[in-house]
Amino acid sequence: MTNNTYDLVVIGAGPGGEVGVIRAAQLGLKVALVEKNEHLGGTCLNVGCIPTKALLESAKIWEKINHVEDFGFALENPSYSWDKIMSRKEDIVNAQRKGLKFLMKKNKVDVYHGHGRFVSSDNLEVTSPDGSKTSISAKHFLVATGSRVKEIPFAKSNGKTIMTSDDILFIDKVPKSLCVVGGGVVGMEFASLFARFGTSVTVVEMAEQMLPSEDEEVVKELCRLFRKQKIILKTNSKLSKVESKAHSCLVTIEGEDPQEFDLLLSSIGRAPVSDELGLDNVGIFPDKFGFIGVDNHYRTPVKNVFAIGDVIKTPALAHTASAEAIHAVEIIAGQHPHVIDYQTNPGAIYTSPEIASMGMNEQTLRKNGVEYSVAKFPFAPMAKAKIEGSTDGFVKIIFEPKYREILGVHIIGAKATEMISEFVLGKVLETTVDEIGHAIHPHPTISETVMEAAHAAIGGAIHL
Amino acid sequence: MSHSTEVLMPLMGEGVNEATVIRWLKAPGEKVEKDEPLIEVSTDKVDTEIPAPASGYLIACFAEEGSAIEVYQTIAQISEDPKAQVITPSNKADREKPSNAGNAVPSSGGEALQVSSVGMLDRKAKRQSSDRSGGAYGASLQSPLPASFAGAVRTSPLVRKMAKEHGLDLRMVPGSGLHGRITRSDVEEYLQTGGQRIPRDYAMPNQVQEFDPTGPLFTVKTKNEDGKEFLDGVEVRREKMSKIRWLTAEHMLRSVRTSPHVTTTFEMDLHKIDAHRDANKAQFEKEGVRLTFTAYFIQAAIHAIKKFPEVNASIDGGDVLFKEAINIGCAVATKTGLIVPVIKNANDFSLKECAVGLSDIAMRARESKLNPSDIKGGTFSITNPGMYGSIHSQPIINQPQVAIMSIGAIIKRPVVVNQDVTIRPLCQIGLTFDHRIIDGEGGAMFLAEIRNFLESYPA
Repeated sequence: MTNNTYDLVVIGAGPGGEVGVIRAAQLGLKVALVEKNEHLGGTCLNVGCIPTKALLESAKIWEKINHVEDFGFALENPSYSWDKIMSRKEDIVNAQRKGLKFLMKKNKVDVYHGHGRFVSSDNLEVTSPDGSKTSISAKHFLVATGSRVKEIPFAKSNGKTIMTSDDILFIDKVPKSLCVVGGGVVGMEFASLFARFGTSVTVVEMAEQMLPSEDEEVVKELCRLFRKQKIILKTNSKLSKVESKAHSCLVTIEGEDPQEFDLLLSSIGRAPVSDELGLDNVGIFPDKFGFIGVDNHYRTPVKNVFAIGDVIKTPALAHTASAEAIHAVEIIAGQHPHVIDYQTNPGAIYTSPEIASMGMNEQTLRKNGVEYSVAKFPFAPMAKAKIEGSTDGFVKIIFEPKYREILGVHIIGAKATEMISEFVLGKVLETTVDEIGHAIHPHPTISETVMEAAHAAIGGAIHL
Repeated sequence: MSHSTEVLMPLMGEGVNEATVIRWLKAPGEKVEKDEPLIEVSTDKVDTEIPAPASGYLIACFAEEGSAIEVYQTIAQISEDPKAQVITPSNKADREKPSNAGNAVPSSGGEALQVSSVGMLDRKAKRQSSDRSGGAYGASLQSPLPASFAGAVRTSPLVRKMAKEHGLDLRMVPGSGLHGRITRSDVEEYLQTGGQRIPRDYAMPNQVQEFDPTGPLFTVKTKNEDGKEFLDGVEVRREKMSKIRWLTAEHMLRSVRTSPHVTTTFEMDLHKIDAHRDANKAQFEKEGVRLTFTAYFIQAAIHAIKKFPEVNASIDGGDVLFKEAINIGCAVATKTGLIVPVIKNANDFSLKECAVGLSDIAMRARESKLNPSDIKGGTFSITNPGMYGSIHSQPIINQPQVAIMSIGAIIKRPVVVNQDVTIRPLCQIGLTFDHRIIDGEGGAMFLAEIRNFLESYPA
């Protein structure tokens, strides 16, 4: 049993922990990273953002190929190889894993493969896959253990007819029919992915709105476009029974007849990973959902232990975890970073069309009785949208009427996830819609829609 | 006699020279509360209500409904006494503008911020959002300031809009945002507390970091185990600045950032002043007035300012604001810190009036009995480190003024007069001035005028 002492030990090598250790090394801290899985990168790189977006990119191209005659091409019997699509996804993931390993080496981060468990507030015991134990001491700890998929109690993943997002990323062929349970971001992205490869998809959501945290108008538009793609959407619907057969499963929705699907995707959300960490040994007690409580510098009640990312109650997004990790590490290094304003934290959904958002949505503002104005501009009249064949969608800016401060931005349409960054910077700098409208946007681009929406806010859009 | 307040037509934005009275919301004789809407006015930019600057009775309205009234004109009189005598409305347009210049300052956004004489602007602005030329776009295009001014205070478009509405000098608002940026919540907090708050962590509103080449050295490292702090390897004890210290620090930093300072110094022979003072000291004393050298310097300054009005001015973007009043600020060291109380309207002051004015403010400053108005409205400043033995100094200009005169120690020295060596009380008097408005020649000529005045003082 060896003994090692560090300034900081980070538990979990996802987009939070990995960014945290690099920042710590940059600031001159002696730092170690503990990861229980074989590969670095966490959910995001291994079974989350990166592989899903890789598959969705193939779906986007397949979708274009199916409309290729609009652009003047004629392809006879176009086809795809699911194996190649999957191996491209794996290549991308592997390349990123390699990159991460290099970054750890470059920044002289000691990586411990194994399960970390607090013995005391300055000591962690790491159990490696072969069962050997290592004791690590540190002045500070950063818990970045992330989250795991939640399962439906009566329909747990069997890797064949019932899957979670962890399994479906390795599926060997496109299912003919798919029942997605849970219309959140994960469910809607997989619905959009498989629908484009010809699967008949049904999405079942308990809440009254798909993507419950997104703006109602944007979701309404997405649902309209999903239905055009023959995706069946059922809100206010609850699963009552799932019967798994050899090559399919029989799904019963409350008040409906049982229906047979090749595959059921369980995407009812994710839960924080805070058990099995020995947190009670240091006096940290997560809430009933498993979230660790922190202050706005991500300090837990135990002053040398910090927590960030999916394991705390802030939005469960990779970029959010990274930003939180940088903040926490800078605090540990004695710096005075600026507190993160979650109103400037963007969200990105890679459905077809894409959705991106920042700040408050309309239904929340209405519920809270906040006075607001809305400016909207559709993609349809824009030349570049027509050129790219992406005329669906709009940019919606919600602003406060007195100073025209930006309260929320909701974009649905092509390149939405890239265009939101303009608003993030704007909001960080407390820009009002006036300046967004005043900024010249290049022509012809899709981003002109942003400028036009701002024009609409300050007196009149030009091209409508 | 009860106190009367004149209500002036406020300045409602740059380029707005007049406003039309829509209607009076109060009639003469009616009681009004402070901040209660008094009158509705309309300008090219906004329709707005002007709130009462004080509580009392509305004694008289001097502006008819439908008439266009120039900015800073007296429009009403409010008094605590319902039977107060109606004043003769003065045209304050000329008098008020310069004395308000302290509040008409270049903001970081390149827009001049204006404070009305009633001190606030309640803009329930019916901003016509369709009016693109006058609203969102117009202001920045008309900016009279060079872009180099923009970096002085870190703000945001939102904050600048709020500042404009509330007539706020953003340089006074401490910024809590990234690199000291002033955020919406900083402005809200400032407005709520009336600016009384000392900023959290004493962050300088104009953080020097980005300009200061020595910046990285100033990282205070905290040792976590025993709480000891080190600066550049040297153990330090941390103490919060007093409010006056902080305000002084902020003001000085702002001044050196704003004005290119130039100092020029003359040696002056004070034997005539010395003789006059010796001859008259006793008589002044009898009348209860202490006759100091400083009284003569004030008198000399008043004399010279009349010949060189640019020394008694302020800069507003591309404009120079020449001040009608000569209000002399005199730097006084008090137990708590530096204060510059002002002798007001000294244009026609005799030596005795200068002496009386000086002893009044100096005494009240040392006894902490100054009113807020005593330290406002200075148009020129005098500092006298000579009383501590300094022979020459290069002070920092008291913004928004453009010049400050510094007095060195009066020391008897042998000098050559008409081929003979004789002993004379000599004094080095300097003028530190803002080179944006005063050139070396102007500064020297001003001091030559001072020297001429002091060296040829009648017996």
